[in-house]
Amino acid sequence: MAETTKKSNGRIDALVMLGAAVGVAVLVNALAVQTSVRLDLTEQQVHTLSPASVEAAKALEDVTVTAFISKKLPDTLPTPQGKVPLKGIDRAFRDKLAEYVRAGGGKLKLVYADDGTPNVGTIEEQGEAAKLEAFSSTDAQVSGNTLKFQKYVLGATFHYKTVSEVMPKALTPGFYEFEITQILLRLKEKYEQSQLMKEPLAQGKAVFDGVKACNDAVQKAAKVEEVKEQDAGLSLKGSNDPGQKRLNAMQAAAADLDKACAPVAGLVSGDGAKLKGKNQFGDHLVENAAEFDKVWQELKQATSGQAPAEGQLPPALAVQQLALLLDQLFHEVDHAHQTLADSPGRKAIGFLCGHDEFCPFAESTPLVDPSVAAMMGQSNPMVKQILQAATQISQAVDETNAKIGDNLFTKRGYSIRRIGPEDVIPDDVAALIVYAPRKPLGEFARYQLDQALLAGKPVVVLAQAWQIALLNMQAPEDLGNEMRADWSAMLATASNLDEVLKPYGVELGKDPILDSTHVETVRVTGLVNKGGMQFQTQQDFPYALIPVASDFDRGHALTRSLSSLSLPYTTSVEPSKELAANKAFEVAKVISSSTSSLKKPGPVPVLPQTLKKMVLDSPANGPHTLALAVQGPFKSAFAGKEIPKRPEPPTTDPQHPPQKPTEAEHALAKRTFKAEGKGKLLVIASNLGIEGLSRAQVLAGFDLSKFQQFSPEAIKTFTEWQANFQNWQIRIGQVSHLLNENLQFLSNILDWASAHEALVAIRSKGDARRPMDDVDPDKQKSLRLGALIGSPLLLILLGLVRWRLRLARNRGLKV
Amino acid sequence: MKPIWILARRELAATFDSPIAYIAGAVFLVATGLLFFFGLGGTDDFFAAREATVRPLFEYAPWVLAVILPAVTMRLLAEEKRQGTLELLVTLPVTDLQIVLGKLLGAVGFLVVALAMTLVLPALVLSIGHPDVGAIVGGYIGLLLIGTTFLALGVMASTWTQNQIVAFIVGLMLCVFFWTATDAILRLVLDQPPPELALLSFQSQFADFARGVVDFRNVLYFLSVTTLAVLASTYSLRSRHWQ
Repeated sequence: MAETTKKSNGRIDALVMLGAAVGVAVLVNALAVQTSVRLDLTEQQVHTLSPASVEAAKALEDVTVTAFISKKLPDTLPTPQGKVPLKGIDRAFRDKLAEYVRAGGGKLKLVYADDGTPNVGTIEEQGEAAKLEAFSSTDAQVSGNTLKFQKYVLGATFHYKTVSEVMPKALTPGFYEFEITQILLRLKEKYEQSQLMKEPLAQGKAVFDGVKACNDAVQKAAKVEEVKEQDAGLSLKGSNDPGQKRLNAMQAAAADLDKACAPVAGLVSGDGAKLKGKNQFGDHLVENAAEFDKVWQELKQATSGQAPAEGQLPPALAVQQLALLLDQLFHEVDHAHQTLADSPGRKAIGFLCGHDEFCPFAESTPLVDPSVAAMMGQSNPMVKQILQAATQISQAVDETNAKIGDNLFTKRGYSIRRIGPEDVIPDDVAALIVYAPRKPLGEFARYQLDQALLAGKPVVVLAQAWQIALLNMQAPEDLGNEMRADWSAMLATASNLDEVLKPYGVELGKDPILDSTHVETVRVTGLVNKGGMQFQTQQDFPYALIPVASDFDRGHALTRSLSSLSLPYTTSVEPSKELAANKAFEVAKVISSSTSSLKKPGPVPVLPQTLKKMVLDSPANGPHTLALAVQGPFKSAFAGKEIPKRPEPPTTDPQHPPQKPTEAEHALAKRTFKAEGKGKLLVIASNLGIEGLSRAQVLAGFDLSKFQQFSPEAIKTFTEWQANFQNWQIRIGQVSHLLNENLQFLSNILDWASAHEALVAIRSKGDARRPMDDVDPDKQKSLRLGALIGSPLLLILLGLVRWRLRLARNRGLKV
Repeated sequence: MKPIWILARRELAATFDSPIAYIAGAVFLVATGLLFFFGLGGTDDFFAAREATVRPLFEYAPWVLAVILPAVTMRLLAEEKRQGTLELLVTLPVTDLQIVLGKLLGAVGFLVVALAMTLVLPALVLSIGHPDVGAIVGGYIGLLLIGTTFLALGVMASTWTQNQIVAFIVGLMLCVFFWTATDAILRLVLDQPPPELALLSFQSQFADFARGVVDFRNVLYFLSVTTLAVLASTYSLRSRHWQ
């Protein structure tokens, strides 16, 4: 009996002790979750906040960070570069945010979005409403007839006083610090600048609010019938036509709609007019709001009950289309307003213009003063027609450039500035882009570039040594004939970038880089005659003049996540021997061509088949450097030289004559001249396929005096202009299929150029990728085999030796 | 401490006297090497990724350890029980806890040797690039900790039975469960497990080591599980008095 009790007690003791141990372990671990004692063993302390980040966290009072983290994140996320592991990423994100909160010493408040609160939606919905980027993994659910991919969010919003910033997608733990510190620094600058921009921001908000109220009312009225229809399957006023029902509903709500939308016109002409011209983002907002108002007026007309004019859509259909258009325009307005609200403190990027380069701006002055054109047209109707046509071409060029600027840069939140050949770079321009000039840079422009570089402003130079014309339209010799497809050729540009860059130790080559294996295709446009009619055909050919680079410097922020990049018509760029040997400089060959590439003096045959044959017959001499980043203490190319005087700008608008250069200005330039300074220079030996379009290039030889009297020569000149514009379109078309990827790279360049100085080190810290040396396949095999077999074999050999020793020892014992 | 040390040395020597250490060690090295170079299903070629990193080792080695280490621990106490040598052992002036710790430390000795043999992989990577050495050190600390925890679970399974195969299967199930299934089970039980509970997963706890961060919370977690497994093994051993 006593024995049984003893055993039972022993069991109970054991269970109690184990239970207590589990309890203690749980408690200790639960308490430990609150602590953060850790050792960051990585070489660059990748997972520890740098002093700049700690300072940024302490610099702001009362920042509220709202984290949006999906409850169930997938283990991996498929991307074009492969699967990104997400296991434990939510914890890494929480930890990083918590680290900032600690570093801020109570100045940062961290809250987590929760889906437990009623009427706020799921975390994913809340995140999307807060402008986070939702992402999907491969997890999908069948919903009705469609496959629905599960959406996730992982990101945060940062609110500081009246301004906010969003971290839309936090999928790279190595870059959390870069992104969060960037946001904190930006919040500070944004708030400070927003205080100076209070009025335009308030005007922008008023316009946005007015447009939003109108759109909400219209969309509510336009959708009311759809909801009723779904609920009851009934129709209003006996109509079964959904368009008619929508029209009826909108007519019924006409008074409310008018009340909501009438203020828009007033806002556009009131606050909008005041906002116009102050800020490029504001201009964009007002233009979209004005367009919105125009569509609203059309919608109002369509719902008024008046019979449509001839050629107009029936009201029911018009209302449907206009309501949809209105909603789309509202999204444009929303985006433009968001960009305006984000613009305070955003650094401007200058584009050098005036040398036939890519310059995404409309010219500030018209081609011909309208009053002059009207006067000349009075004397001769033919002259009037030609001037009108030239103005139209000029407008088309301006519109194309302005659209490129808007869509590529302004809409993406970059503030861009035109720097003409006679302009001094303003102080608020943080970086300078020289985008593939095809004409030589003048002394003054070179001097501006030099001083910008030495002042520490990042300078990005893209080069275009050659123009490839696979099809060239030519104006006819005889008047009355059609334009003809004339020739294909490789034409050298007149760029002098090689001379411009030489003083900084950068050797920009003129010989094209070709590749036999790693190439992209070129789109060749041809003209065929069928039944007396001319048709255009297009066909893609692998093209040796468009090498695909896949060898990138993974340590450089620009190229860390690139998998490949096509560089049309590229040449090479190398550091000079002196620069390469100078330890004070950091020189990075950020992009290189493949080993199958070759450098060959140009011009080379441009037709794809001929070129291919030539490349296959020539020995490869790659790799060649295609992009070079240099950072260090540059010396001025103008040291000991006379500082160039600012050229006199052309006077095209007599009403607003430009400011003429003065002696005082030149004297000031001499006094502020920098002979040396630390700078950042990035040179890419290709234009990435983006060919510049300029009025001077298309309207080559435009001279108003030639049009005083009508002549057949004037007609011929006009057709040449048409041919020039068409040729630009053809040349862009040749590589249009590559542009999306290359534009993404261009965005990276702008990000890199406009990044905050303190962030550069943090960004490079986050680059976890470390490139492997080139290992030839035979060496790979032997290394693999050695590692796979070597260790197990060694272990087994050790076992055998030990076994033999034991046998010998046992034998010894027997004896 | 001394008895533990003596027991550990004896156990380590016994492990290397038996062919199991060499078979398990060789299988571990070959499997880890294959996964390192080719990934699971041969999908991730190490050289094709062109990155000087040892990360694949830390991704796959815990899987292999979860399978191999129970094979090392299966005989530790089950065999002693089956052969009756445990009775002989307990007559020595050692406590049950010292026996368990001695056996565990002996097995940790094997783990250290096995991990040391994998150093050929970081050496290879160092010869063709510049990997982050700190991150490698962190990863190895993590492997040592997780491996020790797997061994403690294996020892615990070995105290529950006299049959080595049963000990292996139970040990394997425990290790694989803790390594892989914690998340899944939590999600089965709770629709949306709180993030704090997700920390029970070995994978979540190991992720920081693989990044080169030695977090006190992760270390504490693995040590807690190891301690609990050692305590459970000790009471399991002591249970002979109650049967």
